[in-house]
Amino acid sequence: MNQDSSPNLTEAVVTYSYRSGVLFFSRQSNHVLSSFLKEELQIGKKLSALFEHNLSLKIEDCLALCKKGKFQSLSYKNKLSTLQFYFSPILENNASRIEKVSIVVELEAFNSESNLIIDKENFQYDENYDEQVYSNLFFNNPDAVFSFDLEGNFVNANKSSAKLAETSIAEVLKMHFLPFIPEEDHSKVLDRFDKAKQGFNQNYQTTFKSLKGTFKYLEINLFPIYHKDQIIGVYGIAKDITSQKLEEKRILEERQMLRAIIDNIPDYIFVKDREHKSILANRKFYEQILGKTSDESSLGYTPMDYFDREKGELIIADNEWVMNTGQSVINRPDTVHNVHGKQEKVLLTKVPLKNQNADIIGLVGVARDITETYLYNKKQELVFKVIKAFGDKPTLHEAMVKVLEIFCTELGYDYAEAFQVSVNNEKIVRTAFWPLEKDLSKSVTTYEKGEKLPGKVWQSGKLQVLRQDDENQLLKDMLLSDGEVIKSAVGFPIIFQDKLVAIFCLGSIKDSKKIEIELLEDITLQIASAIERKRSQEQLNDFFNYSPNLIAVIGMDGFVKKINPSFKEKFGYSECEILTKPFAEFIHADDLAKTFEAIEKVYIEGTDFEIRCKRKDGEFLWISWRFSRFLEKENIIFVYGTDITPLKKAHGELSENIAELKVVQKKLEESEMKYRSLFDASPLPMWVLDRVNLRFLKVNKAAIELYGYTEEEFSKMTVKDLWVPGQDDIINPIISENQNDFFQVKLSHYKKNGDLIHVNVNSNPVSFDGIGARVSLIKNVTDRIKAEEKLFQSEQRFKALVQEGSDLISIVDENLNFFYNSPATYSVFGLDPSQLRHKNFKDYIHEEDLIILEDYLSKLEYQKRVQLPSYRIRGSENNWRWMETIMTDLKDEPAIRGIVMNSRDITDFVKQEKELLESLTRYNIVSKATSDIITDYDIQKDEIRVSEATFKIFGYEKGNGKYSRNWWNSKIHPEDHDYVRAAAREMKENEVKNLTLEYRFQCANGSYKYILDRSYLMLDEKGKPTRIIGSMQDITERKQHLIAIENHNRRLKEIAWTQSHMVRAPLAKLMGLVDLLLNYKNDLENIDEILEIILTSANELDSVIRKIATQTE
Amino acid sequence: MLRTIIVDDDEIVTFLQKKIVSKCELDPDPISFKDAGEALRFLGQDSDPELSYLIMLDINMPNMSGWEFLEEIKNIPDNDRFHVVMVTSSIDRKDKRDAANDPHVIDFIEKPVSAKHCAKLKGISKLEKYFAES
Repeated sequence: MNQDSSPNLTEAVVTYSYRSGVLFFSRQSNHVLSSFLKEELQIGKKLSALFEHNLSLKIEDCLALCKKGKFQSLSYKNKLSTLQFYFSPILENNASRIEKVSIVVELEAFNSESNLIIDKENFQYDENYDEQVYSNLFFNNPDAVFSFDLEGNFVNANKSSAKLAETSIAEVLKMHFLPFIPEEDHSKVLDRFDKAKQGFNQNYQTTFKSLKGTFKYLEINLFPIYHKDQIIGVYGIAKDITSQKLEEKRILEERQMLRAIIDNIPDYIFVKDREHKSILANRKFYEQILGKTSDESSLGYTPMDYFDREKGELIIADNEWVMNTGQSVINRPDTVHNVHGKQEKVLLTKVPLKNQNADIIGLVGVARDITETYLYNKKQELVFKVIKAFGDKPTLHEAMVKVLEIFCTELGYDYAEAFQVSVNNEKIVRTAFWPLEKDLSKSVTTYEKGEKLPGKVWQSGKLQVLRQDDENQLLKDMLLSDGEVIKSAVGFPIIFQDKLVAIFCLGSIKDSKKIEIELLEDITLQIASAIERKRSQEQLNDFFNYSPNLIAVIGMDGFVKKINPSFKEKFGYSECEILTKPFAEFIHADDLAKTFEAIEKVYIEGTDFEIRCKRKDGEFLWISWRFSRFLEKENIIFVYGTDITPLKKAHGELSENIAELKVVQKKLEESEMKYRSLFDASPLPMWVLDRVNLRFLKVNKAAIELYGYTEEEFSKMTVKDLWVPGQDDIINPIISENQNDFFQVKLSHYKKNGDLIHVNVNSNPVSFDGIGARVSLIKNVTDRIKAEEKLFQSEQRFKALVQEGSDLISIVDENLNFFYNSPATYSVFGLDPSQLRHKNFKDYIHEEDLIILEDYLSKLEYQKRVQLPSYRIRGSENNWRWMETIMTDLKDEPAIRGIVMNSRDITDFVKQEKELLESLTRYNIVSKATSDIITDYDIQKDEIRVSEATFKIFGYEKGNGKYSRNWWNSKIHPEDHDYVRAAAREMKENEVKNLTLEYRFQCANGSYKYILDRSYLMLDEKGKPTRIIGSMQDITERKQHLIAIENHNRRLKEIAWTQSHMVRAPLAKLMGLVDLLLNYKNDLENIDEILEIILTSANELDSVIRKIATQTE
Repeated sequence: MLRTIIVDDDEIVTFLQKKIVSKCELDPDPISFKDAGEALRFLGQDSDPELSYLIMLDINMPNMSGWEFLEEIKNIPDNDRFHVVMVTSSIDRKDKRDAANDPHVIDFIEKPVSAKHCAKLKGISKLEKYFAES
């Protein structure tokens, strides 16, 4: 805009910058202002310095106000003319402050009519300006120049205007300006127009649309048109600034894009000038380093402003070097602390910044944040070291110690421990610690869940950090040996596949030790797998070393490469001996082929093969080998061996047993053959029967010959078909009782032809073709039986004769006529046996007795044997002899054919008995009179005779009046039994003469009676106890009376006691109350009450006594 | 100090004994229980551990007899503070014998309890110290 396009000769237009002074002025300006200026108007001059002092001050005021955005006007006069100043602040895009002012100055001369007069109808120039010049200026002006009436309608327009509007001047002059302005700028443009109408010059930018729709940016200047102090219109210049505007816009957009780019780069980007002041910084830089929200590089920060002094100086020196030498710094590792105090590892690049002339005007810096990469590398390094430790160390324990050491040295800890969960899962046990000379847990190396740091980690399954000043005080007493205290600690679990493998605890003596939680957590998995690997490796080693089985690696070259200790134990060789000789030397010669074959086939199938291997002492062991892995490249095989020598031995024994068994079996078969032929060839009949239904299964020739049935006929029969009827009762029980046993039986069989034969059968259980069977041997004893029968008959007679030989033996016919008498009869009858022959037995019997005997004799008709009661027979001297006879009917017996009489002369015995009876009768009479029971126990006969009274008292049937001792004892009351028996024994054994006992004896009806038994022991002439005579008195009634009296007494006593107590209770109260009254009469508050109680107690006593009276009635 | 406890199911008896006990200056205000169980609870839970107790115990009582009571107090800790006088209306030599064998029983009184009895109690060696001043 340095070009002046103003046609106005009485007006000066100046654009003024507060900072840089005059930026622009219209060409006429020096002329217009000439009479007021001290010196000529020039670009860069300060306004205040141009004008005379008074005016300068006023202008300064206006400028100051204008800077605040206020339009100002100022009027100033000198003797020639008046200057009218209009100050308009220029508002610029993106500018927060008003930097520039547009100043329009109008000159009014007092004595001239030179002002431009504008009439409404037409323009009249009564100025003395050349119309030509003017119209040229107007019409050929490259800017659009135009004027409006006060309504805003075009009054005048030059060519440029028409061109801008893309129409003819005539068209323009018919129009209002508004249609050319896009709607968004309407209000702004109207506002400007209004201001111009009010006399204020306007300078502004607006958008524009031609009639054809072409879009433009215009800079507009509007000036009011005065006529005789009256504003009659507005005159304007429009400058097409579209290309400039678009360029600006493009630059702006580009800048914004660049800004967006650099702001989104994760590196720090900064541009410095030679004074180390910031020219530009990206967002990462201004946010992370400066802590700002926008780029304020224009404020010119230096490193001293955002780093500490030391760091700042270093950077400045470094930057200086870059800028001075023109050399770049590329990817130099550096450390920065951002505003949040976080330390970051960066790779720094600085390159010098050059202008078009290749002068170094500053530098561009890029710092890449590589903290994460750094940490990652560090982590990798740590993991590598840990894994290496597990690889290097032979045992898990040593590896753990090494790992703890790595943790301490790499991460800066002073003490470390590792724990492992105990096998029973109840505790954790320390497995390692480092440094080895600092053992913090001399006493405690196991922890419960939740106990201390290790226990807490175990419980939570998570990393735990402890600090010295924590509330839980868990770090208390954690003293290292050199007096240092652990102030920070971290514990973390090592988890592998959800299983807690170990717990690591690290301690530091620094109280604010930085704990790389993420790092620790990240590497636990690798440590876990390393531990697990080491552990399984160790287990594998253990397995190898301690396995009772043989484990070896053998080479295809015929040598053993590696053996486990089991070899030494089994074979007795040293490892060296085995490894230095071909293995073939250890194998039994007979098994070598087998061995090599197995080795050849190894990669086809891995089955077991059994060979004999030599022990150092020369013995061979049976070993079962199995190949596991063939490593082709190394040409080796893993083999596993098991000593099966004992198994082999057992197997051998078993085979022997089996062989033996076979021999036995064969023998058995042979013997069976023998037996079979024995069966067939036996001269004795034999057969085999089904054990259950007795069907013939097999018969031999002899049987066929004997019985006359064919083999086929036999096969359809059972042995029962042979039985002579009526033997079932004999044979069936024998068969059923001896189902599985041998038995022997004598039977009669029918042959096929109906002959009866007597046989002895020996039968044995056998298994015949799998069926339970019997083999029976038949012995035909028919001939023998017949012979025996004859013999038996004669024997029978003989037997009958000698039967009861000492007595009289007679045989009578059915009419009781004697036909045989033994010689002994003489002593009875006084007749020779021959004399007695044919005499009748009855003729000798006492008449009285015959009557009784007839009954008995008649019994002989149906009874084989009759015992006759004692009877009398007439003896030789006509005396009567007492006889006892047993008659046996043996009429069917061919050897006898009569009735045998066995008689005994009992005359003396009867006499004796008679005497005894008489004495007993006397005794009975006495006993009857006493009403006591008299017992007579014959010790020898073990028999008790009792007196009549017994039956009456006890109710037993009289019978013969004799009882066995057992029966008698069984009647004694069970409770008394033992003591009665003891007493009786005492009496017999110790010969106690007299005994008095009281006991209960059972009656026939089951009830008991109380007995007082007085016994007396009788001795024979040799002093041996023979009998016990007893007298039993029934004392039941007396006894019961006694019991009743005792009971009664007891009850009376009880009543008396209770009643005395009952009586005494109220009586005692009465006594007490009276005592109280007597002794404390004057001391009692309420005598009436006491008297009342006395009455109550007296009544109570009364009622008690009454009650007793009724009870005892 | 010695406090007196009267245990008897008969209210007239407790009334009477309270009077006598207070008149004889054994205890100005003896405590009485109608039920041995209650007395037991009192001794076990509410008694003053600093004090000794003279217990005048009836034998024949419903719910809990004097004998049972005597067994039960053995279960109370610190029971040597309890001195029992068996009080009964009936004279039974066996009772007397049993009582003599019990360490807690210091005397056996036949009802009614009289001033003479009370005076005699004061003279019993185990109780003497509590009445030394008077």
